[in-house]
Amino acid sequence: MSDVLSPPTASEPVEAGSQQGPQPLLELRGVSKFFDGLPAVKQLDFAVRHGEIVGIIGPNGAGKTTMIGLISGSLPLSSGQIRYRGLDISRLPPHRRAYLGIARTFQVTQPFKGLSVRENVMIGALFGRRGLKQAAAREAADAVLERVGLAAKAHFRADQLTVADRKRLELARALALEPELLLLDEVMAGLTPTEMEQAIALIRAIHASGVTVLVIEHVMQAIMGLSQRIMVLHQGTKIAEGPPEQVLADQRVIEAYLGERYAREQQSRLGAARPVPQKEGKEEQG
Amino acid sequence: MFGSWHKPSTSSTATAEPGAEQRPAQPKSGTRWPWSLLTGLIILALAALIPLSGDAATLHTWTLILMFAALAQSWNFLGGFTGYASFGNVFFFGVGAYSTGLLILAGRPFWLGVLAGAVAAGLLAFLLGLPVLRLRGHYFAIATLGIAEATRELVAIRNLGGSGGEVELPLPALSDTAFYFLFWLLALACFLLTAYLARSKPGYALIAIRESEETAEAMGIPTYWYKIGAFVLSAVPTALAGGLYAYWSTGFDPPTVFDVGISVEMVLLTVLGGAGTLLGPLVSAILFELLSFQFQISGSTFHNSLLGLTIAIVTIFIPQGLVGLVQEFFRPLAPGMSRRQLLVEGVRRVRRVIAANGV
Repeated sequence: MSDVLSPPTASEPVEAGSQQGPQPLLELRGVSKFFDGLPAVKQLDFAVRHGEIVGIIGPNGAGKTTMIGLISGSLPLSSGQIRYRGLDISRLPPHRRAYLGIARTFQVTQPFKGLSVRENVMIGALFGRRGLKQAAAREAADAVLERVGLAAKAHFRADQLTVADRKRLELARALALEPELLLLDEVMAGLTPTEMEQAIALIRAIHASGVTVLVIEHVMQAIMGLSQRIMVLHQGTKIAEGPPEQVLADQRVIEAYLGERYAREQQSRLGAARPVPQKEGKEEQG
Repeated sequence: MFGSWHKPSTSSTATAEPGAEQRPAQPKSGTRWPWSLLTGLIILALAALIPLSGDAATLHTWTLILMFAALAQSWNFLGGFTGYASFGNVFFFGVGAYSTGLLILAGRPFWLGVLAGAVAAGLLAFLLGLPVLRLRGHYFAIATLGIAEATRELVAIRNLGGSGGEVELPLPALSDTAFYFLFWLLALACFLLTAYLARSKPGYALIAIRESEETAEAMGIPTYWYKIGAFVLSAVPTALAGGLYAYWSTGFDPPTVFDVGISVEMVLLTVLGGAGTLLGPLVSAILFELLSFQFQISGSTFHNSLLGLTIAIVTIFIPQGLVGLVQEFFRPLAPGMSRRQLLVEGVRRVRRVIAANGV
């Protein structure tokens, strides 16, 4: 397979209206997505700089997963533009975006069930931008599995894994692509506190290795500690953006997302942020 | 998603086992592959001895068996590996037959017709694949069915070849044994191609599409083009078989070479044997076609019902196919098990698979 995409041209002008300073790695400009006329994401402007770790929060149905789908290309845009390294990727299919260095995990894990854990990860190294041969891809897969702590289960079939291990596999699959931008869709949901700590440490390590990370998470404690910056989505619109403490203190955020209950808790709490009680059921598309 | 052939073929059954413990998976390119390859080659080598029997009827039967083995294996490239079930693959069979028939009538050598049919089928698969492989599951199946049915009507209405689309050919210059070995070569080629796919990079892409197309895309696999590639790969040998059949049978008409029954047979044989497996289509083509001929020879007036019943029973009890069942039997468990333990464990496991299928 040939490398379909040429590297972005350095001469690409930074258009007027975009951010000052260095070009953002990822930029959403007026992005909207409608499902049967119902807006899931409305006129969203958002940018991520190279090397950042950004959290996205919002209540169920706020459009977080839709946003990941739009960035990774699994959902077509209704309007607006997505730029990556200054390149308009709005109409590129998902596999081309994977070549460019965008990797994602799925909220509802979707491994290649009948294949082994190693094969699941190996496929990323085979077909991703590394385009390795089988033997090399297998070695690369083993290295990634070692990193996420799944090495001992490399021979297991993907559908035999526990929830925590499935989340690890999602991460491993994404990492096998050697991403530049990693989109994590609730990789910590359903984990025990210990597993969550391991996951946070792992994400930190991935970030430290130079990967830009975008985290969607319901678990407040996790995302507050991880993110340098947080964006809050509510009904498909951005209602706040900034450092975690600032966003947490924002009255609109407290009302819209955290609810009065959290506001009360916040007043009476003694120290560290605690997990917000989350609703059952998976996040819907819209 | 769509039907039993949509399942990850070989080893999916184990999921259904109650309280299944975590245990080693069967890697796609594990130790099993050389054994399947060897078994298939032995079967084909034995099939090459059939002409020695000197019995014309046996030779005729086995010629058809090998033809169906080639057809089922071709269907497997797309239907088995990616899970996209075409119900119109007979279209390519007909294209092969008509290309060959019409070129022979025009005074060209038969091999030219067969090759022309293969090229035409490949091109048509590509062109038709562009729109229909954007469809998923049932819609793809319906679209392919429609294409084949419409073509049959069209060929008849346009009187392609002769009135009503009938084509009558001169007696072939090849002996029946020569025809037998041409079909044998085709079946062998399909088998080797399947063996290659089962452990190559493109094979991984096709299997990934079957297991989760969305994940496959996210992993950098251009799924659309791989599907189209598999469709072309599926069409070419099917057309070759159609071309050989045309010359061999010395005459045909649209209802014969565009018979939806042939499409169904390709699906059935693959699914019964084990979709996406190396041995499945080959083994079940031999078993079920032999069975079908036996039922016919028995003179019973309801041989089709008997065959149907057999198929229904197999589908209900072992939807993962014969090969899937055998593989479950031989799946290595713990090292150092004695033969006896292995046998007991194997029988237990097979019974569990059947029980887990809700029967």
